[in-house]
Order: sequence, then structure tokens, then C-alpha cells
Amino acid sequence: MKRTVKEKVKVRNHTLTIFLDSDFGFIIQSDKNEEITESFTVSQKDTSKCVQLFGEIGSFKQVPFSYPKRMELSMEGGAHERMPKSDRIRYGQTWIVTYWDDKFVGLKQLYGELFDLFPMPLFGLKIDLSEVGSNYRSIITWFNSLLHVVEIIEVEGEDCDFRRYLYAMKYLKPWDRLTINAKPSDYWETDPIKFWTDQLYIKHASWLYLKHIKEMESSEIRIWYSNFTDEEINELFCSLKDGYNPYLKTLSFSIRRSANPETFLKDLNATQFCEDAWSFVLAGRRRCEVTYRKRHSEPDLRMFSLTIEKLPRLPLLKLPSLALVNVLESMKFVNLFLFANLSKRMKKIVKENIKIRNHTITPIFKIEFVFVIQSTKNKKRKEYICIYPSEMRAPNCWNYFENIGSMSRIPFGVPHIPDAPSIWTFWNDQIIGMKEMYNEISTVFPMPLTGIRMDLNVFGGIGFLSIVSWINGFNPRIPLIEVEGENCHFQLLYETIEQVFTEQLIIYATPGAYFEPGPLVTNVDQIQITRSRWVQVKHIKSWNSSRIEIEYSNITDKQINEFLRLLKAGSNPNLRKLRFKFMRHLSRETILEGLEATEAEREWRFQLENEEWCAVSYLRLHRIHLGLRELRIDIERKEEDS
Amino acid sequence: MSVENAPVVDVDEAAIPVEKKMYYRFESNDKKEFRVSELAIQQSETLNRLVEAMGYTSEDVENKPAIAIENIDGKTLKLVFQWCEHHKGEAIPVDDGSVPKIVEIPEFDAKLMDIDNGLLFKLIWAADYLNIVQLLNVSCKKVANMAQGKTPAQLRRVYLLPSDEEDEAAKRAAQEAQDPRAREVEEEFEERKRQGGNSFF
Repeated sequence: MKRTVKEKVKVRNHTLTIFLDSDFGFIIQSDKNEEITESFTVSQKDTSKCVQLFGEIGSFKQVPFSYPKRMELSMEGGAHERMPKSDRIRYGQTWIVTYWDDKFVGLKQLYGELFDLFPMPLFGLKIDLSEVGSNYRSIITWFNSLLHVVEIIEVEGEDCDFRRYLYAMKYLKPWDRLTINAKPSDYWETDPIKFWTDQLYIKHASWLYLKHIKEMESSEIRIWYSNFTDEEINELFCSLKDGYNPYLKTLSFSIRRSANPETFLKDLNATQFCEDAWSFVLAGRRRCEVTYRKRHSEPDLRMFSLTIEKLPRLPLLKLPSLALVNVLESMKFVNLFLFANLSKRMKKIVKENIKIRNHTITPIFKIEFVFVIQSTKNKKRKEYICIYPSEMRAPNCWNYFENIGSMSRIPFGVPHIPDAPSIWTFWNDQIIGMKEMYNEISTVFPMPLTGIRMDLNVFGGIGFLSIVSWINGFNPRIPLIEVEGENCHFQLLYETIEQVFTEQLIIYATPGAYFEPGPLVTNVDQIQITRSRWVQVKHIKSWNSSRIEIEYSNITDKQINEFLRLLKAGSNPNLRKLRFKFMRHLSRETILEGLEATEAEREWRFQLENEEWCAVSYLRLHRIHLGLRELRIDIERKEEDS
Repeated sequence: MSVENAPVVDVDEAAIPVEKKMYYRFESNDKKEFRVSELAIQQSETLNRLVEAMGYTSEDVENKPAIAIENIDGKTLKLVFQWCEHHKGEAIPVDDGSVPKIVEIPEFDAKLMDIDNGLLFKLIWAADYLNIVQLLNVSCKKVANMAQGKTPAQLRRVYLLPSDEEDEAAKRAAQEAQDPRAREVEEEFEERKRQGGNSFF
């Protein structure tokens, strides 16, 4: 049977990982789906357990084995699916346990047997130094004798012996990534260790000295909880400048204290390009950018992050003029905005050559104050200029200062969000921020302001009036203002309707409580109120709008009739369309009582005293909402006909 | 089609194509010669007009000297013709007026432009000179993409853009170079300042 399997079965697209923790063993994993795994475990023989299956493995004839978990799991009904993903991979979907007097012997025998039958690449090793016992040297030597280039090695072990720790670091050499999560119980100064794995992560690096980093040939190094002094950090940076670690691309390390930039940047001729970021030139025309930040999840921890690269450089102003304009026109709006603020010359170039087309700008005053710049051709293309309160200054983006209008040193942030290009700005007064930023944007990039969205819940009285006066200052009027606010203050809603000048006002806001409002006039041409239980006929009567939409009001059929009588008598001379939406039946007889209306083509018409005509019709809007009805009142004004 | 397989032919590297199409011969300013199909040439408005005006027959193409392109080197011209061959037959894009422009960089173009910035700079110049609209669009888009996520200080460095102070200094230097008298006045002023005088007059 073994011969048949060996000859006929070729395992493809699978790799093998060795684990050495409380048990030893192998995980066989599919390249195509990492959740498809099988595992073979080498466990310590336990005479108390009754094992009934025996097999021949390598030179051992009667090796006890079992499928314990698989049977148990199937009985427990889906317990496997409830396991964390890492554990599922660890235990495998199919699990065979073999029992041995010596686990290491078992591991070697099982590996020989497996590899003989199903040769496949060895992908990784996971070793727990606290669990492997005094055999660690033999185990690592055996592992290194396997003729494979292993991609990943992870070393675990809480409070492990430092000699074991050093031995593992010295002799375990994966090709791609070495992760050392182990924590040595104590440590002493050691000679440098040569690392050439591409990525190196060391979680507990108290034992690490500067000389160790100098010898690391990895391109990506992450070190946690180091004990470096500011002087040592400076020495490290100076050695980088002199050409040490030529393969290094990123280095991050943390310390448990504050550091002094004057000390760690000494003699580097570094330029500060953000509040917490500097750059300096390295040998070989490379550049190193350093950030030094507090880590928010662990407030006493400070992180240094270094990125070394040959920065792309291209003399933009030496391009032919057509190409220069093409580059600027191809930039995202937020980049163009930053460009225009680089210098007077750049502002002039941008202003003279770039005319933003097919884009609109919408100020939004909600939990976030933000300008949304949106393409009219593709509504999904949006960019954002956000106005945050000062206390929200974001630590995880490039921070710097800009002068905006009359305001100096306004903190800016440039986050890298590819799908939503953004600039973050931080202001003591967000309303001033909105105004100043709008002036700055509109000076260089005039764009149609198609509307404003505001949430009444975010305003105090003063802020609100300030915004209203800003809105009313626009000439021509802003075409659309949308007002939101769940349980908003009724006074603010009331003032919005009375005070804003716009073509169209849509009110989605619902007042938490409302009092009996007195006369309420409005200066908007079209008004739509989507939650209008507070609206009464007297309000509609006082509005000089040409189109009014009232949804879900408490107005009765009799009150509608009263309004129509007023309309007939000459009220609301500008009104052309009035719409009521109700979730109830309407009585035609009550609504049209005394109006002398005649039926014509599914509508009822009556003449106003000024001889204009009014048509009333009634629709069921079940497709929008079951039970929804709309009452339409259309007035044919004479000047419209002419 | 991969960048490597694009059918631009260096004369010294490959055989003449078997197809019965007209292949024009061009020579870069460092004397590298290329054969480019008639259809590929249509991507360049400049070259297209040039060959139309020349009215070459197949025999002329072989017998007459290669058409010299004086201000583009061989390395750049090879990229240009690889691009033209890959995109031959495609319509020349018409600007729809959107700003910011909507330009997608296809995979082939991205690989072709995976080059150092010096060469990218030359490629843009060549696309501009030869009036290859879409090549200019994609190469300019690549340059525009370098700005993403950068602060003003980084933008200055990436695009080598001078600050107001540097612009002022350059302007002064240019003025001085034009007007030697201005330099004398400046020096005299500095000298008086050194001597403790508050006013020039």
C-alpha cells in the first residue's frame, strides 16, 4: 500500500510547518486556502490513556496513535468552527496524534515517514524555547540539517533561558521572516549576532545593544521595549548616515521613556518636515525619514520609525509647460490645494492654469465639519478637507503647520487614505475654520457650491447664527440647504426656516419637543419638511414659497379645506405646487367642501377669486411605502401661462 | 503583452519582421536605429505628419537614411516606440475637460514606466515633443501620483520646488546678472552698513 501511495500520489500546492511546543508535530497547509490544514502531532506517551490503534512509523513497529479531537469535535457539533482561526490551523481539520516515549525521536521518525511519502516544501518553524527542554541544541541542529530554505520562523517562550534564546537566534536562519516573541528571564551583554533574514521582529529587546543593530542585514527590523539611550539612538542614526546597514529600508523600535530630539538628532543636519518627523541624508544618495511618536495604546511607550529610501525626485518646473499643466490637472484636488500653498509662484501657476471643472463643493456641518469635493461625472469620486477641533489632532498622520488667510500656524495633517484623499485641519473654532478654509479654497479653485448640509444638534446658538449669516452672504444664493438633527432644539429649527436664504430648503430634522410657534415666515423658494407634525395651516399660509412639501403632518382634511378656501380668496400668491404626504385616508368631500370643484381627468379643479385655476389630485404611493398617500395641489398662475 | 515582448525592433538586435507592413526607420540622437510599424506611428501626431509629408514607399524606407529624431536618446525612444507598438490602433483620447483628470494607468504602461525618474522625465519630454497624447497623460499621471500622502515639505523635495525665499533670491541674482550697476549698489550698501551707517543717503 505504501509503495502504491508513494508512486501514485503526488501532493501539490501544500507546504509543511513544524511546531515544537507542548507537543511536537507538523501542519500541512494548502497554498490555495490557508484554512485547509491537516496536522500530525507527536505527543508524550501516557499509559493512563487507552489507545487501541497502532501503526508502523519509520523503524518503529507499534506506534500508538489516535484521532481523538476529530472524533470529539464531530460529537460536539461544530466546535471546530467555533475555534479561533489560529487554533483551527494549529489543530488542523484532520488531526492524527502519535504517542512516543521521546517526542524528539517521534518527530524525526514521523518527518522521515511523511517526507518519504509526500515530499513537499518546508514552509516554517514555530518553536517554544520553554517547552523544548534541554534538547534544544539537538532539535535546532536537526532542523538545520533538513535540506530546505525555510521562509518563516517564530520563536516563543515566556521567561526562557537566555542561553537558549541566544542559541536560537544564532542558528535559526529563515529566508523571509524571523519573529522572536520569546522573553528571556535574564540577559547579559553578548557579541553581535549576524542576521540576514529579510524581516526581523524582536518583541523583547532589553538585551539589545547598538552593536547588534549595526550587524543586522535585514531590510525590515522591528524592535520592541529596547533600552537605548538618546545618545545611543543618535549614534545609530549617525552610523546609518555613514553607510551602516545598507540593506535597511524600515526600522522601528520602542523605548519606555521620552526622548530629546536635540540629542538623538545631534550632528545629523536633520530637517523637520512635520511636528514629529525629521529627515536627513544618508550615504549613497538615500534619505532617512524619522518619526518619534507616543504610542496611544501604551502611553509610556515612545516609537521611533525610520524609513530609508531613494525619494523620487523630478524637477517639475523644468517639464514642458503642457506637461506641467497635465501633471497638475492629474493631481487629486487635495494635492493641488497643498501645491498651491507651497509658494507664491506655485499659487500663481495653479491659479492661472488649473480650472477645476465638473466638480462641486459641499460644506457639511455635522459631527465632522468637512468640505466634500465631488466629481459631477462620477459621484463616487470624493475628496475631503476636514475641519476638526484642535483637541482631535491626529497622531498617525504627517502633521505640520500652514498659514490660512489671517490665521497663522494652523495644524494640518496629511493622512494616506487612497480611496478618500483628505486633508485634516485642526482649529480652535471650527466655524472660523470652515470660513477661512472656504475662502482659501474658493480663491484658488472657484467651484460651484451646490448645497450645504447641517445638523442642528452640533450648534450652540452663537455658532448657528454665525453660520446662517455666512450662508446668507453668498451671492447668488446657495441652491440647496439640507437640515438634519434628531431631537433637535425647536428654536434652532424655527430660526433656520425664518432666517436662511436659499432656493431650496429640505428639513429632515425632527424637533425633540415643540411649542406652539407663532407666525413663521420664510425666504426660501421651495421648502420640504419631512417630519412635520408641528406644521400648521397658519404656517403654510405665511410662507411665500412657490413649492411646499409637507410630509406626515397632523393637519386634518378640514384644515386642508380651510387652507384651500384661503387660497381661493387670494392667500399665498406665489404658491404653485403644494404637496401633502399622509399615512391615512383622505376625504375628498371634506377637502373640497364649498369650493365648487369639478372633476376632470382624475383631478378636481376650482377657480380662485383672481380667476386662476387650482387642481387637486390624490395618489396612492404604495410602491414607496404601503399606505402612503399624496395630495397634490397645483395652481396655474397667469404669468406662468403667459 | 509584456513590456519585454513589445515589438519595437532595435536594428542591431532583431531581424526584420516578416509581416508585409510598412516599418519606418528612426534614429535617435545617439545613433540607435528603430523600426516602427505604420500603425504604431499613428499614436504620435508629430511623427504621423512627418511620414505623411515624406510620402515614403517601402523601398524608400529601406534605401533612404533612417529618419533622425535629434533631441531624443535611444533609451527614451525605445520606451516611446514600445508604448506606441503596444497601443497601436487605439483611438487617440479626447480631453473630456474634467479637472482633476481621470486617467487610469494600464498594467503595461505601469511596467513600462517602472524606471528611474531621470528617464521618466525624458519620457515626458519625448511624449510632449512627439505629441503622443495618451503617453503624455499616463506619464504625467505617474508624476502626479508621487504627490499622494505627502506634506508640503516632502512635495518640495520630491518636485524640487523652491520656496518663496529661494524664488526671491533667484530673482535678485538674475536681476544682478542683468544689471551690473545693481550689484555695485548692493555692495556699496553692505559696505556702509558694515561701517555703521543707518541710511544709504
